[in-house]
Amino acid sequence: MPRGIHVFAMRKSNPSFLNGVPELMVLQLLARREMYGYEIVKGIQTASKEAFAFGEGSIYPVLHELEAGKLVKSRRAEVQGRSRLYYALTASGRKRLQLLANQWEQVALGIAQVLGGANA
Amino acid sequence: MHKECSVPSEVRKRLQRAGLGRAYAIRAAHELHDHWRDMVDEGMRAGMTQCEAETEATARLGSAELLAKEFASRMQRSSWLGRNPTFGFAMLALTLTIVWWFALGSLAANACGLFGGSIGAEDVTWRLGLFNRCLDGVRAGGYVVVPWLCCHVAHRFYCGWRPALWACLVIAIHNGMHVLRVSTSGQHGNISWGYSFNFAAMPALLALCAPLAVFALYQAWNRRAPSERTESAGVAC
Repeated sequence: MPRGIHVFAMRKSNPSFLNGVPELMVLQLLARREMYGYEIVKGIQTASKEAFAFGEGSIYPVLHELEAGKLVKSRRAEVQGRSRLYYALTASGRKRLQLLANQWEQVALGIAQVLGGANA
Repeated sequence: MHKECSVPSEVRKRLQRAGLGRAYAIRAAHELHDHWRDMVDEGMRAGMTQCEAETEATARLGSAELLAKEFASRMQRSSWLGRNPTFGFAMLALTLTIVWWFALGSLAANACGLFGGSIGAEDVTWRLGLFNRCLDGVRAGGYVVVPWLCCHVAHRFYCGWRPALWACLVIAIHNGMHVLRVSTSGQHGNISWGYSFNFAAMPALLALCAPLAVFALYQAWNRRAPSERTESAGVAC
């Protein structure tokens, strides 16, 4: 199992202020192009340089929750003989992404200030 | 040729046991299975043997128990009814009951001509008698249809079996205490609607048991295994 920060709720060590991080990462990746689950996991691992550790199956509850909230939509497509469920961002998803990204920037700024203050 | 992974089918079974819709459980299992196959292919491309790649992929997918819990809790949180099941489903059961009685009761009254202009004194008695029989039908239909609708809503909004059972209990209590009387006085008919409980006489067993039986049947139907066609498509293993 890879080492890293456990951001998915499957891990009991998930700190509460990391809530919303899986959604943020998934929405950010889907803002670039539509993807299927495996691609999203690979995208998160590549973009974060494997900083996050999670059971890969736990991406699907996040995707399904986002889909139920109409933040993403899915369509089935046949690619290289395999039927895949592709996820794409909706207009509400784009708004939610903006909101989460702003919130996360504030959290990151706050943490940086605390750490900066502690190190000063 | 791939061996099959047990995690997706275990997740499907757990989701069905948790009362999530059968179609949704199959879809989740299908996606997990596809993901597992992609991981096996990736492992084999990286030089692992098929057996090693499959073991690695199964470990990377995560435990079936935790995955099923994650699916269930996230989907329950995705709707207002799922976040407020006790209040939401009690209100849903009562609202559906009221709508059922109001809609079909009005329809029955109209069909029996009770909304007509002047009705002769001799007509009132038989029309109200017919209306009474229609109401018996509405009551009997309500024993089945309203609990079924509550179970359906619980599935539709991924709320699980507990809220559905709670709604059926509310309906059973309502059925046990609900009183509707139609009486005549001269040229007029009276309909009285209310709730009472007679300690001397038990309420009708059918009124209490029917909603719970509908709940049990709905859950049993939802928990059936996928068809062979679905299995051969790699949905479950």
